[in-house]
Amino acid sequence: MLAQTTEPRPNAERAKALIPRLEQLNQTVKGSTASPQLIDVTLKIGVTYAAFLVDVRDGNPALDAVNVPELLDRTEEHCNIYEIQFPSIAKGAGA
Amino acid sequence: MNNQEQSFLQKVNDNFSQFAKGIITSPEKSFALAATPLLGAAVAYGAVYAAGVITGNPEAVTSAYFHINNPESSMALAALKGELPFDAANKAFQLVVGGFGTGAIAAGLAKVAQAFQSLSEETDHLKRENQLLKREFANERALDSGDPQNSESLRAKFNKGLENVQTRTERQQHEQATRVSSGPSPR
Repeated sequence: MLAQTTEPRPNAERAKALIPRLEQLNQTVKGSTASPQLIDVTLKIGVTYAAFLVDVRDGNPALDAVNVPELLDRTEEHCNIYEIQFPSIAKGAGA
Repeated sequence: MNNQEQSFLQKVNDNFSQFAKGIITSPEKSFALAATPLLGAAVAYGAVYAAGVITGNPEAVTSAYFHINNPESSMALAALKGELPFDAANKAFQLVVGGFGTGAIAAGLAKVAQAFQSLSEETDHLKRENQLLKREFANERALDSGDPQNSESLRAKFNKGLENVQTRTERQQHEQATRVSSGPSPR
């Protein structure tokens, strides 16, 4: 289930807010005791979201071809998954 | 990876698949995205790694770590020719072919690296991949120029690769369809 945005916020503003969240989750995973595969795939997928956020932030006109709000929802969901569920994963891996 | 990590990554990947689909929905749309080649490239890379690590498909794993066995070759170029062992990867790269080896990718990567310190190794890797691809394109063009009849050879190779991938994908889809219908779904 994706989080619904209640008031329309400009895409660039949403992207700017998501950049530090994505950076933070990447750092958390990198510094964790999770398995190397989990860390690796997190960063490889992270590049995709990062490239998207930078494009939205800078207003790349080519993005008119895609549904930016929906893709921002997906990016936000990615952050949510890590912020909510990763802490217990990291604990489990350290045990 | 333990089970907990595996099911966590499954959730991450389900969401990522939806994201990737929103970017590469059809060949026509991917051409519209030519102005953001980095995004296309990044989606292709992300999808290959996710498939390799999360599904454990050995062909996907080999494709994802292509650069380890082939340090001097471009993974993207191999994909464009339909040569990676994982067909989904070949396809993803072929859809985003427009932007590869271009300055736009390098410029985009610089911005990503600036905004995301956590991703410096990944952006370095993509930068190197882009340079390799540029060099290999240049080599192929140089070879081609010796024989005017071969001037379209790179394009022809891509088309041939695309056909190979198409054929193999259709065969695999057929095999999967028969397999799935003959037993209970894994879940």
